Amino acid sequence: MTGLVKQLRDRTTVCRQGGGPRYLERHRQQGKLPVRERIDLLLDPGSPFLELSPLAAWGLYDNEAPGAGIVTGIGRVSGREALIVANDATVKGGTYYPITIKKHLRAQQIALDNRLPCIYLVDSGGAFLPLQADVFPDRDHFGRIFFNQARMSAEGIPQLAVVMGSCTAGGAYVPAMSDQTIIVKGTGTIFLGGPPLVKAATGEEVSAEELGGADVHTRFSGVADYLAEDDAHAIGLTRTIASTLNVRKAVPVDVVPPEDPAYDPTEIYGIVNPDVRKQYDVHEVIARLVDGSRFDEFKERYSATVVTGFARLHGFLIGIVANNGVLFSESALKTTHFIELCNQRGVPLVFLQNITGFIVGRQYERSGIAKDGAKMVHAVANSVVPKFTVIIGGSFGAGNYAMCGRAYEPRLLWMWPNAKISVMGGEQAATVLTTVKREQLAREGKTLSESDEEAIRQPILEKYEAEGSPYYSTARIWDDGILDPAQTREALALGVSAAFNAPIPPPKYGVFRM
Amino acid sequence: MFRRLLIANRGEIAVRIIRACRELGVESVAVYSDADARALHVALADRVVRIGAAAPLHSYLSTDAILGAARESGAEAVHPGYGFLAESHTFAAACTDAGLTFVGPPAHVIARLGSKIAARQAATRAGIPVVPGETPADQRDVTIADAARRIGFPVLIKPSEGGGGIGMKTVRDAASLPAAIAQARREAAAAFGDGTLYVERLIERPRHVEVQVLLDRHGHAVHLFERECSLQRRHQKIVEEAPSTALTPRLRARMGDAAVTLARSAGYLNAGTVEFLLEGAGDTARFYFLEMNTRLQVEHPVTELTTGVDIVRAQIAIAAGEPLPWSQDDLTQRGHAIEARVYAEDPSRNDLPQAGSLLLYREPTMPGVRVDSGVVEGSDISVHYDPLIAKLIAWADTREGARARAIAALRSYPVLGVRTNIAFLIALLEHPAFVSGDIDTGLVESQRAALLTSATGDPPPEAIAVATHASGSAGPLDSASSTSADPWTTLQGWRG
Amino acid sequence: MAEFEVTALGAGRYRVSDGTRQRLAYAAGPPHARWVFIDGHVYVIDVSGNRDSHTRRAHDDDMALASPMPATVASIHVSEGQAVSQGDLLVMLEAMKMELPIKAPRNGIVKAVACARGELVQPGVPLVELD
Repeated sequence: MTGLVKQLRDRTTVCRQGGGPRYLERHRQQGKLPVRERIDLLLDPGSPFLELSPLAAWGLYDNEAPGAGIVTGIGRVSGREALIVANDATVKGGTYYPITIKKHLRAQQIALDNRLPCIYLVDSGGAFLPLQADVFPDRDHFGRIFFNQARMSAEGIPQLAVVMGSCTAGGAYVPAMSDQTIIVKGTGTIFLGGPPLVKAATGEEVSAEELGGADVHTRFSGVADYLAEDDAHAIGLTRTIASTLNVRKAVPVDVVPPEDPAYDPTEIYGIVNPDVRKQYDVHEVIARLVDGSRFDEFKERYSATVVTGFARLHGFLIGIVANNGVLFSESALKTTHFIELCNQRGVPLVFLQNITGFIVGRQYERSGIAKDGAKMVHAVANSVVPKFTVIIGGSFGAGNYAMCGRAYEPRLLWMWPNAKISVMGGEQAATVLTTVKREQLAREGKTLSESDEEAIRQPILEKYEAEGSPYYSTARIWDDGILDPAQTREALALGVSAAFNAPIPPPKYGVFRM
Repeated sequence: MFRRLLIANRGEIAVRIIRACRELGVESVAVYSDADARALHVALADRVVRIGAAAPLHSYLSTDAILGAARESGAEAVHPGYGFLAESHTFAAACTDAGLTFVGPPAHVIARLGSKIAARQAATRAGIPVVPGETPADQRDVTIADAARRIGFPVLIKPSEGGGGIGMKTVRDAASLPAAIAQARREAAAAFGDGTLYVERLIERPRHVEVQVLLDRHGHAVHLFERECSLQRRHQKIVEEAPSTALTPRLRARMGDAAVTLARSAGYLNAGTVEFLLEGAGDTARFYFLEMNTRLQVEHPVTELTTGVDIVRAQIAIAAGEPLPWSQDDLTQRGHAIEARVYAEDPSRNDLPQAGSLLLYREPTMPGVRVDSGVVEGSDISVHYDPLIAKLIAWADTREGARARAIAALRSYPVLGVRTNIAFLIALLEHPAFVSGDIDTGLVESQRAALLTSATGDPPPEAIAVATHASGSAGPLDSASSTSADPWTTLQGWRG
Repeated sequence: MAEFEVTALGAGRYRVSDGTRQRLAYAAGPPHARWVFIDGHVYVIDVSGNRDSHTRRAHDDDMALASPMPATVASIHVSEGQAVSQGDLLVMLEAMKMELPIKAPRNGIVKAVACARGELVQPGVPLVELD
């Protein structure tokens, strides 16, 4: 596990360098601050930053777009949590690849779920034109960004834009659609058509600054509201605006002073085996995540393959659902009961997912494992309390659904570097597919030779191995990032705390199949 | 007067100095380490400068960091408080070199008085008695015995290289000398590889009594009488009082004169304290110079309450070149003051320092009670620094009145979340030896078991009743203070 | 034990009375470590009624020594008469992409091994008996 964590750190370091030193130098020469310095300045001094999907686009687009050319995350600005979306212009001029759009939209979704003000630090050339078919036309493509801005503004979630570079064509709508917009003199520009397009269309020759610079937009057009002398000044203005949003976080009534776990979180490295086939007692993990390592277990003696109970995380009361084996009917019923408890009391849920699936076999189908599993899926899907999921091992099949996988809208979902995710295990898939092939050949009176079987099996195993990797997942934003297991406690605490920015509605369910 | 003064310290003393600055109309600059970002002294000062990591070496002990902060903030003077760099002559010199006024004596005076040997020589030259003792050049038994007779019995014979009580022999008469010398020499040679012996007068049941002095740049010098500091644990004072029950007016005047004479002869400036060992009580008592503390003392409030002098204010005024506003005749002692030091420590576990958050912290307020503290409810007591939480000082017209007041105040001083020595202090103030005033430096250690018995015990039924009743709620943390425990506030610098 | 009437006064203050005499007390902290101040003394009292729940409680032997689901015996690590300590691996099962270790729930002597390598075992049936 230590090796996996080191690999994670190394890869994250690579991605955080953005476009690399050469582009960074050029960026600075334009008088612009690098994206991470902009964010550091924007955040309250010394406050944490919960970065989202730093390894997005890992292994995609020939690795030309580290982090997908955009930095997103939750941070505290002038005393309140905000969702920050910041283009990294050192990566292909900050243009939007398909995954860049997905990362931007995911950040907006998190802002909407948690009612976090959005701050866009814009420095982007717009859509990445060579891939226009994958970034422009569909529902969750470029246009959705502005749709979200309008909808969030309507919901009373503040939208602030800081134009710190170009905002061309569709990109012009990010500042235009914001509640308040700041533009930096000399580097910030907003226009629907840039100087080359204007020349082509009308023959008019005009500089970028004259066409859509800070002076034009703050004095004549009214597209921007505040003029900043440079990046630092712009961030200062943003922090001032953020202090006037008149929003208040509803901290829950029951908060106690935080306490470190009695057991060192780094001991998780020794407890969790990178081989997901190797079981370990999830209590050992819980003891290294929660305050004082105290866990008030619910239905401990009933169906021990799922562990449910209450604990404190940085003083906040949370409900934990964790796998300790396969899900049986009883496990599903126990978890459904527990989820109802948490919803009734407004307690956030944390799912620690390490699940190969629901039990299979004749006796289980007869006794209705499918309908009991459905109850659990139903309860998870209709939960109104904030949910958080950490995939701490395997995530296979319907177990992924019941344990609040991506489709079940956890506020945040992370993976550990040892995690594996796929519809079934590679071995099982290979066995199923070779069995199908063998039966097909048998009907034709033929047999499957051992070497033919191997020729079918091997590529399937390799495909499942590659696609089950957390890096494959995080590159595609199936999750919100890969966490160092020892830092999971902090990431969860920040997420839980941020979630209290949105009120918790009363519980509501549909029809449970009995 | 200065426009702006930097306080190179933290905790209660930094708060104390900030308050003095406020009265004087001087802008205060607090410095802080990462561990103190939310500390009280940082909240109260007019300006604040972060000086580094929690470890003192990288913050409060870093001359470079502090001088950098002074430069950055435009401070004109530096008050070192006590502890940390307060007795570092190199720090004082560095301040002066940087064009800053150091609130304290000149660097060379700190250096001279900081050396025990040089300080002892200075005292002898000024005619102040020191504990008689010598290392005979001729180490034969007869010359050592001669030295013992010269010094006068009882004597202590100990290795001149020694420490920790090894090879230390008490000799009460000439007859037992030969055996003691032989044994001490054997033990000294075995332990330190050197059998050289030192003979010193044994002070039995000594008291620790110190005299506060103030000297300005215009040649004026006064003393503010004595403080009785005999109640110590592990060589650290825990209860101090003024005046001392052992002093008569005549002895008090003699000791005060001695302290002023020594300070003058050493070229001393600003506030200082001359520590004496006192043998016996009354007019016949003898006092011996121990050392001079070239800084503000922790226990200065007992002097402030009995003389009416604001010592910290006086320090700043002297540093700014102002003359002392009083002569010795203007100064009198009035009433009695007792200070109890509240430490985050567990007396039942060898005074082990405690760390944690103050879940509930309410200082007592009542007539005649002063609390100097550097914390508020919700503060963290960190492992990085001295575990002193606060000093509670009670004043009344009589000693018994001050004692009763101190006990009543300690009984109304809830500190929850971190263990403290409050119950131990109450037991000490109620101990018959303290009540009678017949105390010495060995009292706390010799009575520790008895003091612990009355300070600890199983919870009485009413405590259990309260604990059970309180179970329904999480305690007094309201939403305001729970926000300060929010991970977005506490996880400083977290980056995943 | 005398009965005490306790009244919460807010902000962590409580009045505790035995019917005739009353005192002011302060309390704070979570139930497992509730700090109480009365009259200069501080007590830390556990009123949670919880056992230490991060240490696993021993289950009944039968529950611990049986497979939780239909599974294949992958390997057997003990034999009859062998002394085992709590936590020792007894039998390794395999099912549903997982290894399922059956470990000793307590110290003891192996009285019988009731399964064989490669055997398909059903849930609820003890695989090893301990003395």
